[in-house]
Formats: sequence, structure tokens, C-alpha cells
Amino acid sequence: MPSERPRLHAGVVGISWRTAPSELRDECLLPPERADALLSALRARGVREGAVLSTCNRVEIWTASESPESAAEACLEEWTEACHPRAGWIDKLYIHHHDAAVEHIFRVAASVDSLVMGEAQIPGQVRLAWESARAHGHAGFFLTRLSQAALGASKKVRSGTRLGQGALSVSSAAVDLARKIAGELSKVSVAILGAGEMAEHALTGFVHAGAKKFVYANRTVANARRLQAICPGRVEDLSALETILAEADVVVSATGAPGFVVSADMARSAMRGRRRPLFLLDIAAPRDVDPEASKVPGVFLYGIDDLEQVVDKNRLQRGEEAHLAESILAEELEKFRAWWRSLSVVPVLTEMRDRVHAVAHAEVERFLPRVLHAQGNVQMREVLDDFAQALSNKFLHGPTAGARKAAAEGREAEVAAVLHELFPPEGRP
Amino acid sequence: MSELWRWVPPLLYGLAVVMYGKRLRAPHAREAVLWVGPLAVGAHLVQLALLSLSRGRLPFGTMWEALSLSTLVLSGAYLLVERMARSTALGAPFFLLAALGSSLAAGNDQPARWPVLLQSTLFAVHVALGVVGIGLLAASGLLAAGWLLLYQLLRGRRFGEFTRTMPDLATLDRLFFALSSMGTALLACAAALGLVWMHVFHLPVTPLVAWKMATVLFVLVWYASIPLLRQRRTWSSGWIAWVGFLGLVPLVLMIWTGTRAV
Repeated sequence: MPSERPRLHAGVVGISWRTAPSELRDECLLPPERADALLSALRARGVREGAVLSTCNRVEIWTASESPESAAEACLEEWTEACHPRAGWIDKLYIHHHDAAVEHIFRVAASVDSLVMGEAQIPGQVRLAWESARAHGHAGFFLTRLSQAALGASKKVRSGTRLGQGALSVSSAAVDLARKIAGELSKVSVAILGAGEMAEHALTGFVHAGAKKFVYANRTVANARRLQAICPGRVEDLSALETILAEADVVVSATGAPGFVVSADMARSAMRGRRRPLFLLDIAAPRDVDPEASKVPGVFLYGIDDLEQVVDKNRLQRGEEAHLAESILAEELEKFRAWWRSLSVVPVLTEMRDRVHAVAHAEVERFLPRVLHAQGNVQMREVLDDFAQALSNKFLHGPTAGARKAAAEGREAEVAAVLHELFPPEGRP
Repeated sequence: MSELWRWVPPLLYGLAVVMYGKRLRAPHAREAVLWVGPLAVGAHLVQLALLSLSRGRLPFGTMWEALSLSTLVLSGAYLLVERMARSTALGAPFFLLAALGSSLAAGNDQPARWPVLLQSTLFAVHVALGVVGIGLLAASGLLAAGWLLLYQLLRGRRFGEFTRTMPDLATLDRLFFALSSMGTALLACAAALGLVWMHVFHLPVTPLVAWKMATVLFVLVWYASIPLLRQRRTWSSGWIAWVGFLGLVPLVLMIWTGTRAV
């Protein structure tokens, strides 16, 4: 009930990729059961509400309390008790109170503060943190409102900017390019030439992107078979390369051979009699594919440099989009602040309403005998008129006397303005 | 029907061109394009329905009205393409063509009478199939242009924002082929029904009608070559896309001749 709500302030205590190395962050992780116990302990110490966001890049405790400073102290003690991180870990923490804490939570949820700006997972992790806290009774009206507002802002940032768009790693850039050329990856045939670390890495990227049909080719067939452990596929000897090229839509070459493995003639021969484009990705050093192959119509040959160019462009673009994201966040933050400011009048309003109800109740009791003895409509109307007159006099007595007193003290303009605000003249909203 | 109503579809298509163009420059302006395309198509549909009601006949009493209907089909096809390809990158050229077509139709509005020989069901089906076919062929031509553009961008290693927002090559190729095949089939049916209609009503083949028939035949042969070329695997997707894109020229010629044949 609103009348029971205290004046709460947000607080954040956390450690993130900005302040601490991954080893230390790992020591501070708060998995769900540990987070639940920690939040219960915090609430026992007077913190009204709490939630824990624990990801590989950041661990944070969000609180709502009358005193965020005391809540932060409690967080530090309970967190130390729960995880026993190495000495000096407290120096790597950041603590935010009040408005700064709210702003921080908005920025985290919008992925503006992420290691990979605009990463898509963080809103889901924030939602999970809030839902888990709510399910265990740790998050109440304040954190619920804060989380929802932060997630709403995050959604606006995502739909209103290109912050989350564009691959930021070479492997995802390769997948994006393959998709742009060959279409839906679940329907295309991907050939992996080579069986080394690079080939494995590329294969993993394509598997995660939904590719299903693989052909593995290597000089040593036994090595190529290792790739089948990552995803089932056909294994071929490199001598069957021409057939592989003719069948495949996407070819990733990472053999480590000293010379060209795929010649321009091979590419030409592969394109003979087919209309589908051929995406050749040469990630080997030295190169596996003769650059002349790129001149064959329908062949798209790219190397590591091209992929890095894509990544650089996307990174630059995300940086530019960050300004736009910040302005969206500023707008959404202002909306949350307005809601929070409105909470400050809730106790006064509650008290006023209680008093008015008491007055109304007393007047009803006073007029009830007259109502019961009223005979006919005329008498009843008189009683009701008197009742309304008495009730409005009682309601307005306090404000009228207070306004007169304030005016007598020289605050007439101020009191007139307040009265106009509270009781706008007819016709005005 | 109010005279102003005729100009609502071209104006909304123009607005769509601006909005989709803006989205190309700033892809985050997503909300704007969500409604402007369907709104323009919806308004066009209402305008043609009102025209039908006010004149008591189907909305292709003149070739200009038929052009307007083809434009509606083109725009409707685009909305379908946008949904299937999950990309708004091609919106501006589609709606530009729609704005052009509907402007020409609006500027040449004639409350034509509906001669008895045009009141036959045969004629109505002939024209209806024809306008839908033309709309789909125009859409396929634009998709082919999109394919060629993306092909060049990718070959030139231009991985900018536009490249990223375009549908992928495979989807463009598939949609281009599907629309051109459907368009060709519908136009062929329309042409056959037109011949039957002329025969039933004993209509003479005037020089203008002969010229019109020749352009229709030319367009049909042109577009029918696309599936044949795809069968012959010696033709690359690039060459076939060029055939599809250049098919817009005979298509425009056919429409131009058609508007002068009645």
C-alpha cells in the first residue's frame, strides 16, 4: 500500500570488467543460491529491497533503502562473508548512491557500459536478476519500477539506435558475410579446409550461427575427423577439393599449406555450371586461395583483413551510436526521476486523506439522526444541503486559515500560486 | 468522389519514399517506416474502391486506372518482400515507382464510359490478371536491380550500412525469380484472354492494337527467357539479374503503348 512506502533511495555496489580482472570477478561471482542468501542477510539488516546481477563481466548488488550509505556498508560485509575474495578486492569496487545509482543501472541495462557495447544478452540478464529477486521477495515496488524503467529504456535504445548491430569479432563478421551472400546458413553447405585451431574456431562460429551441413577436408584425413566432434559432417581428402568447391556454398580455408590450395582455375571450374555464388574465406597464413580467384564471376573471396575492416567499421559505428543512446537514456532517466520525486509527497497526501476521511466520517455520524428523522423530500434535501455545507466548511477551514496566515506573513504570491496549482480555476485542467 | 482523393496515394507514396530514404541514412528511424508503407497501400486500396463505387464499375475503365491498380500490386508486393526479406532497404525505389505510376494515373483521370464490350467478365479477368502481372514484373525488376547492386557492393568490399541493411543475395534471387515467374504466367494468361475477348466481340486489329500486342509479346518473351536461362546453367545469376532488371524497359514501353491504345 502506498501509505506504507518509505522514502527509498537506490544504491549500487559492484565490480566489473572496467575495474577488475576476470580472475577477481570470478571470485566475486554470486550464483543464484548465494545471491538469495546474501539478499536475505541484507534485508535482515534493514535494507528494504535488493537484487543481484551476476554475469561474467560484472557482479553488482542493487539496493533500495532509506540510507544507501548504510546499505553499501552492509553489502560489503555480506559480500565478503559470502565469497571471501582476495585481499584488496574492495579497492576494485564501485559504489553509487541515489541518482548516480539509478543512472548506472540504466546504463548497464542498455548495454552502454558493457565490454562489447550494445551486446544483446545484458537486458535478459538484468531481467533475470530482477525476476529472481522478486520471486524470492527481495524486490519490491521500488526495484520493480527501477528495473522495468531501465529495461524499457534499454528497449528504446536498442530499437532507436544501431548500438547492437554489426559483428564485433572476426568470426561473427565471417558468419554475417556468409549469410549476406549465401542466405540462411541452415540451408547451405559449408566446407572447412584444414583442421587446425583456426579451422576449429571458424567451424564453431558457423555451428553457432545455425549451419548444419559440413564437409571437412584436410591433407591428413584423421585430423579432419576431429572436427566431427564439434559438428557431424562428411570428411574428405584434400585431393577431392574440386568436387568440394563445386558443391559448397561457403568454403573456409585454414590449412597452413605453404602455397595456394585453391587456384583461380579451381574456382572457375567450381563456378562452371552453377548459379549459386561461392563464398571463399581465406583465414590461413600464408594465404590458401589465389587472389585471382576473386575475379571469377560469382566468387566472393575475403581474407582476415576484409573481416577486420568489417569489425572496425562496426566498432566505429557503435561508438557514434553511443551518443544517441546517451540522449535516449537521459530522457528515460528524467521520467524515472519524475516518478521518484512524486513519491516524496505520498506520506503528506496519505496523512491528508486520512484526516479528510476522519472528518467526513464524524460528519456522517453527526448528521445521521437528522437523516433518519427527515420526512419527505424537502426535509431530506435540507439535511443534505446542511451536510454538504458543513463538510466543505470543515475541509476548507484548515487551508483557508493557513492561506490567510501565510498571506499575512507576506507570502501572498506564493500561497496564491500554490492554491491555483491545487485548485485550478474552472476550465483549466 | 472528391477530386483530391486521387492525389492521396501519390502523396503517401512520396512520403514513403522520403521515410524509407531517411531510414537508409539513419536505420534507427524504424518506427516511421512501420506505418507509412501499409498506410499508403491501404489508402490506395480505399481510393480505388471508392472510384469503383462512384463509377459503378471495376477500377480499370481506362488504361490509367489499370496503371494505378498495377502500382497498387507493386506496392503490395513490396510489403510482402519487406516481410520475407526482413529488410527495408528496397522501400525507397519501390515506392518511388509507385509514386510515379499513381501520379500519372491521378493526373490522367477520365470518368470514362464503360462500353458494352468492356462489361464482359472475360475482359475484367483479362485486365485484372494483366495489371497484377505487370505489378509483379515491375517488382521483380526492382529486386533484380537490388541483387546487382548488392553483388557489386560485396565484390567491391564495401561493407557499409547499406550493404548490411540489404536482404541477402540468395533471398533477392529467390524473390526476383518467384515474382518474375508469377508475373509472366499472369501476363500470359491475360494476353490469351485478351485474344479470346477480341475474338468473341469480333474486334478488329487496328495498328495501335497490333503495336500493343507486339509489345506484350515482347515482354512475355523477355520474361519467359528468365526461367529458361536459369535452367541452362551456363548463365550466371548476374546475367539473369541483368535480364530481369532490363526487363523494366520493355515493361515501361508496354505500359506506355497500352495507355495510348484505348
